[in-house]
Amino acid sequence: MNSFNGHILEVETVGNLSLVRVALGKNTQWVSVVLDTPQTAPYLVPGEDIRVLFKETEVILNLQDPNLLSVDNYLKGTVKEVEAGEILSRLVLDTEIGELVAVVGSKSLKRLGLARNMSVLAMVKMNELILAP
Amino acid sequence: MIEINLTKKLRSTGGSMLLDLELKIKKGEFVSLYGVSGAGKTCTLRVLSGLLTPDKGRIVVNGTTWFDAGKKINLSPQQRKIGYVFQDYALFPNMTVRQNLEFALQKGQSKSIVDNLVAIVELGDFLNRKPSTLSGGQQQRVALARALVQRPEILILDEPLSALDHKMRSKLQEYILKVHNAFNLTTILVSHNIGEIVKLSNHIYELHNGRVVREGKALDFFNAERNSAKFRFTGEVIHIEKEEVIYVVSVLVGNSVVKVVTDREEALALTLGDQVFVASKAFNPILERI
Repeated sequence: MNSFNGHILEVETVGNLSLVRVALGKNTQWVSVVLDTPQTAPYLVPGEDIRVLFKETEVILNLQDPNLLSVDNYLKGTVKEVEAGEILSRLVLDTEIGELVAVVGSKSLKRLGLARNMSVLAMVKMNELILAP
Repeated sequence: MIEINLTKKLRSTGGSMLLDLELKIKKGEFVSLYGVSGAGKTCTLRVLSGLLTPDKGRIVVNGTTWFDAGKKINLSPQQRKIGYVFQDYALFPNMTVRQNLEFALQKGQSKSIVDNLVAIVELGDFLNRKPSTLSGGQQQRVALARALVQRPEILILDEPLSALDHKMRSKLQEYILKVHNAFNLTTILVSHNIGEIVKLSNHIYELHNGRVVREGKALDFFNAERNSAKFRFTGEVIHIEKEEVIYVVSVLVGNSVVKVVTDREEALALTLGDQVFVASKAFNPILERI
């Protein structure tokens, strides 16, 4: 599980859903959609420290323009380690918020030609981010 | 309110330990004592029930002093209004269920309480049976009812469900909650099962080396309810296997085994038998009509 510390910037609530904007680093503001409101989860207030959790297997790696995808969260990283399996491969990226682990299909690894020291965007959909105070 | 403020030097095979307690448990609360074996949980129950005498301090329950080392007050276990349920049912094997329950009546006490308890824990069909003909869960229901015959103010449960299988355990938990509410009890549970603790108690005290090292509301204590993952269960790690670059952890949740893919560091931090939360956001699971 990837886990990063940040703080809440903004909470937008509609019905029982909230869109939470979290600052994780200087250039990294991510959003998470949660089935909670500031009433049901009192920690959902701007300024509150929060951890953002997501699975390695939910990370999408991208070499192109991130604005052409319906994925809200992205972060630039440099490939630090590659452990290639037959079906799945594990990559460790160096990013401004720390080391991020991605597990992707080995075929994608080949297709994208991912290797050490390459620059890549790590992307995560907003419904995959778990928030924990 | 149960106010405990005491010390007791304990000797065990592993050396000596100072039990040093300061607890305030509100009337009507359901609290759990949590901690590793030898942390002082059972000793805490024993000093409260009068089976173990503290060296110093006081125990005051709802305004009545049960123990005061300075004033040399020490109520006997019989004088303390406590019902005690252990893992071992400790029923009289030669008596029927009804006889076991009636044996606990005090002199002159009306038998109506027995019928009331029998109705609550649904023992009506077994009244004339001997304990040996009952299942473990049924025997523990008898033990639970027996502990309440004298209308105690405090119910103490020391690993009461450890010997039962999951289904039985879950049913007994319902009965425990039922009697806790019906008799307005203050209940103290010792358990190693996190799922059970979260399900039953309002407040948790973690003991270590004879002291309370942490306390909190049940939902906050294990930091479980305080994240945005809505699809959440507790379970026990029963298998860890490496598959290529990932690890697959099998977790026993209720009667089912679920498999969870994890990264290396998480998998290596787990040991078979560990209690874990299995959690995911409400967005991930799919539903299909059966």
